[in-house]
Amino acid sequence: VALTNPVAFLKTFAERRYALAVLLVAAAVGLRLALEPVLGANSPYLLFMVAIVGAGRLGGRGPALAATGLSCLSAWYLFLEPRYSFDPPAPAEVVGLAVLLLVGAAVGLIEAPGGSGSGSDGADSSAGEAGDSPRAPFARRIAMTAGAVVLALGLLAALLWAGFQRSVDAEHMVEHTYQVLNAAASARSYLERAQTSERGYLLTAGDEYLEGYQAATASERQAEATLRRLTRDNRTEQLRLDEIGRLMRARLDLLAHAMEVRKQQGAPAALALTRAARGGELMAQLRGALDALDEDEHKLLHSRSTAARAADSRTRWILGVGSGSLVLLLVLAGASTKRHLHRLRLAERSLARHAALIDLSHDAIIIADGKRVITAWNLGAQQMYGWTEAEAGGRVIHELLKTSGATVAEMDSVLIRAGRWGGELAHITRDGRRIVVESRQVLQRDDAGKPAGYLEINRDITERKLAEEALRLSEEKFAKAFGTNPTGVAITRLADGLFLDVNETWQSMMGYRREEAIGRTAADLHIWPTVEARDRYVAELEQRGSLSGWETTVRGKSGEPFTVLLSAALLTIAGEPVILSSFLDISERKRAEEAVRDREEQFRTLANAIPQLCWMANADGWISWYNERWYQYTGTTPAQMEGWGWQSVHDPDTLPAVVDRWRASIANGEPLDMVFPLRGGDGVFRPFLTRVMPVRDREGKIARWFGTNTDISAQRETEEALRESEEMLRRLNAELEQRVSDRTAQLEASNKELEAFAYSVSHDLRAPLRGIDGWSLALIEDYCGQCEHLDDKGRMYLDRVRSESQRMGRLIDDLLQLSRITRAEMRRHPVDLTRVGESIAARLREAHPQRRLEFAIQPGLAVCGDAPLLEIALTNLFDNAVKFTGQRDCARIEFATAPCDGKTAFVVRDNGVGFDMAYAGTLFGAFQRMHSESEFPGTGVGLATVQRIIHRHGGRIWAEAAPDRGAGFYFTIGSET
Amino acid sequence: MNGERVILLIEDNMSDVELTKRALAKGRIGNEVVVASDGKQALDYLWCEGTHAGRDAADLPAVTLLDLKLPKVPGLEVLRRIRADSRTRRLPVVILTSSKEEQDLASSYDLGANSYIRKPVDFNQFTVAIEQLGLYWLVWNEPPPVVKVK
Repeated sequence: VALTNPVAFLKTFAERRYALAVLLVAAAVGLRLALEPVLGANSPYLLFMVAIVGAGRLGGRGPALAATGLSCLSAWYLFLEPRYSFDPPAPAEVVGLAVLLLVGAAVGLIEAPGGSGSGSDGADSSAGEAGDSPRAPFARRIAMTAGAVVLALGLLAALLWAGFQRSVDAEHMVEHTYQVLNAAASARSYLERAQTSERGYLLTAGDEYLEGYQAATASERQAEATLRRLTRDNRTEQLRLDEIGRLMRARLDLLAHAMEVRKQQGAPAALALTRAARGGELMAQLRGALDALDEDEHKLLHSRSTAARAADSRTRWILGVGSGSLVLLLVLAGASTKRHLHRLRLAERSLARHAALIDLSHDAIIIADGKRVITAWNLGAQQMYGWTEAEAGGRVIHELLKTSGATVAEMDSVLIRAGRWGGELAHITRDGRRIVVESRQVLQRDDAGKPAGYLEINRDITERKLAEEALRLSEEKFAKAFGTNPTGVAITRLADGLFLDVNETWQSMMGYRREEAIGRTAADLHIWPTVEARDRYVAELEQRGSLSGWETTVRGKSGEPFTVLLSAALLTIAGEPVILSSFLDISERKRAEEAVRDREEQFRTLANAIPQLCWMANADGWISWYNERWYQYTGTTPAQMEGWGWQSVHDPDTLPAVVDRWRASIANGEPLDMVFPLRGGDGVFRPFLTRVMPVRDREGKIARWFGTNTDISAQRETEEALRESEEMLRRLNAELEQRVSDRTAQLEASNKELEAFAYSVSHDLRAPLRGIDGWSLALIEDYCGQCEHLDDKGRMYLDRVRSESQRMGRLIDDLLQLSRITRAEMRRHPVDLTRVGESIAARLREAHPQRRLEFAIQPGLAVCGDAPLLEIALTNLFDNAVKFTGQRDCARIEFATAPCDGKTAFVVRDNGVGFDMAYAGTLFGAFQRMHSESEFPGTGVGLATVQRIIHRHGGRIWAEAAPDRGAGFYFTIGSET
Repeated sequence: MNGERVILLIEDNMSDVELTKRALAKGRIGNEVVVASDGKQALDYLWCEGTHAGRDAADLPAVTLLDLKLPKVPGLEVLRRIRADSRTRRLPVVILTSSKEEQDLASSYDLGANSYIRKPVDFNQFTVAIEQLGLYWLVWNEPPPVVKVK
């Protein structure tokens, strides 16, 4: 955006601040370039520093950092060697650049971040406000600044140390050059001296010259060695020294040779040699080389001196700029701290003022943390709620005050959304009073924007609420009294009867709607029957001030006149006399009175028509009215009977009881119901059933009593007769019951006897039989054939004894069964007779494998009865059928239902020998037999058993048979068949 | 197998006693038959009291045949006491009686009778019954372990 539309970019303040930073840096560059001739390449940073500080002061942290970046790039490009390129500068310059960067960063850190400079909210805030927006804690900023200062100091120290080292090195190099030059001069002088000594020797051959020559030669060698050592690091000089050495040696050799010739051949030869030799040429070469050496060294000396000066100068600059930067930094930090402290002091002073204000406030001011735990509680709160700050502190607001009216969740949702909440709450004070407060709450957020606390201001509006409520109630009361009054109320002008207001009842009573009535007069609406009637009413009202119960007829919208009861008062509304009149429609009441009179007449007619005596009494028991029957029966007059006069017709014996009961009824309002005698006109007392009922009014209070007396003398006689006959019946019943219980006891006794007898029979009678049988058999076994007296005939007799005793055993068993059947307890359940019959048939087929037995058993035969007993009965009947069909080739036995007198009976029919119905009378008696024992064996107990079982089931059994034509046994079971 | 063990017959009718012995003999059952003619005697024998003092109480009969109708101590009471005493509670007891009353049957089994046999009038049947009874209790049936008495 900044690139494509710079105008728009400059529009916002944030962008303007950044533009300012760029402008400041550009100005620094321009100024520094302008000062170039004066300052040279030295210390380009100072002006940039000024630009950075300026950007920071005016624009905040973001622009400061931006200016720092721009300054570094500009300095690097424009002022560092090599200039006008971004090639890497010398290490010393890098350090300078780093110091600039660090100081810039430190300035940026000291400055508060500008509103939009580094933040993301983009608000269009002013520079003044930039420092007040959320910022890094002061302590952190101080720490960061101190860190930057220490780092900058460290770098500065390193820089200074490096500069000092460089200065020392440079001076050392200068000194070294001087040494080289000295050595070269020495070498030259020793050579000259050697040459002079050689000349002297040549001329004089004096030994002192020889010594001088030798000393010079030695020193010369020494000087050369010194030179060589000093210029070890300079290759050019080394090469030159090689040349010088070679020339030197050649020259010295020449000198030595000349001196040898002089010693040997004398001076002339030596001199000639000297002249002839090229000594002079050598010497000139040597001097030239030494001169070159000198010149080189002098050049070196010059450059090194310059470098040493430059190093000194740079060190001074670094020291100056570094110290300056640090001082600037410290001044800035100090200013920032001072500003902050000032703000803190202001805040403290403001807080103190606020605290005083807070305690001055009558409102409860409560400060709570994020969990609504109270942290501060002003005097107002203490006075409002009763707890001191120490007592309330640490408690949760809504738990302490039992807040109602809004839940914490409701308030929080608003607070989090909107930051503040306001509304009415109810609180309970320390002494238990309930107060209504107008509460305003503000949510405090921490630097991260999270809810950190609540500020709550509550104003006690209980009194106001009560007053408002009272006012509202009073207004409502009047509005209600007027609007919903059951009487019609109208406000009219006294002067002309103009309607000012009418209520609902009036509208419905008169038929005019409010709009129709208001603004018109009573005369306009023809409400009064005559004009004079209203005039009289107004005159009366004016005279007395108020009226009540003024009965008159009025006409409504329908034109139908009706009676009303008027009440009125004179009032003054807005300075004008008005009448407040209330209309009570009493036409309904008049009609009702009429109806009551009618009903009363009907009641009297009815009361005189009924045969009972009846009367009415007041709530206090004073009898006010009797019907005509009363006077007819008692032969009295109304004057005798009035009030409590009725006592004269009562029997004096029963009268006290009657009076007591009557007074009790009057006292507790209970109906009275009793029988007492009343004397008739003929002097005879007759019993009367008297009923007295209270008649209650609408409130449930007893209004009067209504009593009737009914002659029950005839009824009494009938009752007496009935009671006598009932008594007789009861006596007879008692006698009968006594007899029945006696009989039952006898029967129970005989049943017990029978049981004991049966038990004896089963045990005691059988034992001897077994003996008879056993010992007869013993006789047969032990003596038969061994004794002449016990022959076959005797054996036959013994067999007879045995068979008779066994028959006796069977008889006893059958008898026992019969007795058991009589005594057995009956358990009635549904019984499937078909299945029982089929199982018996199966047993019989098994028992008589040689017989041809055909059974026809009808399916679905079912009764409700005792299953074991019914099985015994059917077994006996089936046994009989099988027995009496013994002479048939094919025995056919049928078990089915047969109709009988509209009911259903069961029948077991066979195709056996049958019997003559003439003897059927004893058929079901015990031990009764139809056939001889030899023909068909049996005990004669079977059918008796069957009959007993059928009778116990409430059924009937009978037989139908004819000789040789088979027999059928019919039976019914209870009511099912 | 149980040749040395006796059969205890508790029966007051001497005719029945003889008939029972005869039936046992016919069934070739040679065990000694000890007869107690009333409940008291039977209990004396079993518990080695009275006239039977000194008898080894551990030597119990192989089977006891008990009639219900007895003088002095009735049969059901005898059974109850036998079962109540630790020495004799495992003793095989067969009720041998003329009664077929359901109540007698129920009481006998309730009191722990091992078997209930009704004496038939027909002596042949009676013999068969005694024979099979002897065979069952003396030959096939494993006698109960002796109750150790301290």
